[in-house]
Amino acid sequence: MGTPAHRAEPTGAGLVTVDLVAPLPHGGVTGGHRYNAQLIDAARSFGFEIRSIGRRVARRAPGDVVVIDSLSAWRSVRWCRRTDRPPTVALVHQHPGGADGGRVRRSARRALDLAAYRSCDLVVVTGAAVADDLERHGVDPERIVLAPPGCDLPTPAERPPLRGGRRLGVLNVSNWLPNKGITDLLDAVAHLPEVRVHLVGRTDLDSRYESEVRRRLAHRELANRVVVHGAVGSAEVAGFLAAADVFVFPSHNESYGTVVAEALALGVPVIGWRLPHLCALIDDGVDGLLVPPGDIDGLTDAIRRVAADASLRASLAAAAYRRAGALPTWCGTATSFFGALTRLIADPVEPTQRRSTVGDVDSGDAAVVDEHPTAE
Amino acid sequence: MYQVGTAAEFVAEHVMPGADGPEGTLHSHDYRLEVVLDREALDADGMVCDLDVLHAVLDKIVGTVSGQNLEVIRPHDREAVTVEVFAKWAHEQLADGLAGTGVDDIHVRVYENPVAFGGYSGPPS
Repeated sequence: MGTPAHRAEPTGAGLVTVDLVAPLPHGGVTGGHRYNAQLIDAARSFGFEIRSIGRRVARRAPGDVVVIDSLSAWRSVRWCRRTDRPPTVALVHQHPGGADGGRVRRSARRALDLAAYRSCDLVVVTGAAVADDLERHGVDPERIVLAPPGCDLPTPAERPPLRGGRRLGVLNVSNWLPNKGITDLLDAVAHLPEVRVHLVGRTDLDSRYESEVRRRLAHRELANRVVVHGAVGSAEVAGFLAAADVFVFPSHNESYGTVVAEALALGVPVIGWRLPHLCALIDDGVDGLLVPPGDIDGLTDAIRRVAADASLRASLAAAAYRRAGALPTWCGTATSFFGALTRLIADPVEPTQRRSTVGDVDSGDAAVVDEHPTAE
Repeated sequence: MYQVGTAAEFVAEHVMPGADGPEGTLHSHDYRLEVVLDREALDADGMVCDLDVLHAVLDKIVGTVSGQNLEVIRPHDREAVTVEVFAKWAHEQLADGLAGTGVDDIHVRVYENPVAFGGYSGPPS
């Protein structure tokens, strides 16, 4: 006989309490932070209350259920393996190992993340590419639930067209991190004087990469054609999207790409690398253009085509808007997430059935894909 | 100061340009890499650093050099990977891998025989 499984009981207020383990955004809001904020806002209407308890979980968690954000998974392996813990759920916003730091950090954290996920009772994943990755590396597919982010945005803030007197207004919304491909975008538009580029997102999260971006911005070819806006709120992001002709997103590594879905929702076609996260959202040649990863000339050609051909631009935009009609909304995301938690609480996993309470952190599956070959 | 540590043993090759005898040609050593972490105050679990995390990081470091010619880690400004240079490189990798754990200092010792070592110590950033 193993330790009896925890059974979550509603609190006096009738709410199931969820302890969310996640680092604070520190001003650099990511898609993951926005996702968590949507769940926190929606929780009560599903009978839950989510409380943030910090970036790590120690020996005690007071809530009925623990939800571990993927940014905290690597430091939660020991917790996930405990036999006396309450039901514990991983909320996975990124590929195991993440994209920060050097190869050793990403590779070690990939092994730790996977070890944590294998030990969780439920693994909620925001993108199909990551779900496939987890399944390939030993996470029980029966415990994986796909709950993609919503694509609905607040009413867009008023903003004039981003093209600003040129032929094409290009938008990118990303924090300046090496995997986001900001330098790829700037290289691609360097010889496209008909294009104006707007960069939205926090710039100061990686000083070395910020220097690389600013070095490119100083080039004569890009003078007066790139506008850096920094981090802005959701309504302003919606305003930028509504004013853009095309959304160029050459990120090398995403779980889903929330802002890509948001671009589609506002009828903005998307250009980026032919990688799993974009292939899941973009039908190449229909609602966007996909280019072989790292092919800067190909990226230039795709942007040039959209700039030169107004009818192509219009057909891509119409298809983008239609495509978004089939994408999840935040209400659907919350329904999937809290539905999965409700089922787990009703039928918790017995500690003896937690598959990876045996075995160490597995180093054999810890190879890190070179997510950003051009950065090293 | 609290401490936690671990070690790994592996074989790797190196060369000392200009040295007499076998040291001057590519040859292998049985290396031992020892790591000690310092921390003034323990974390909420009563630890300096979760050993799962330390082992995962050390495993990746050893995976980079085990069975390899240490030229793969030689800095441009060094002629050879001595045990001191090796220890400095390992310290940099540990600092990257242990970012966010809260350790105050990392001490590395690299042995290429049972008694003699080169080392590097310092904070993780």
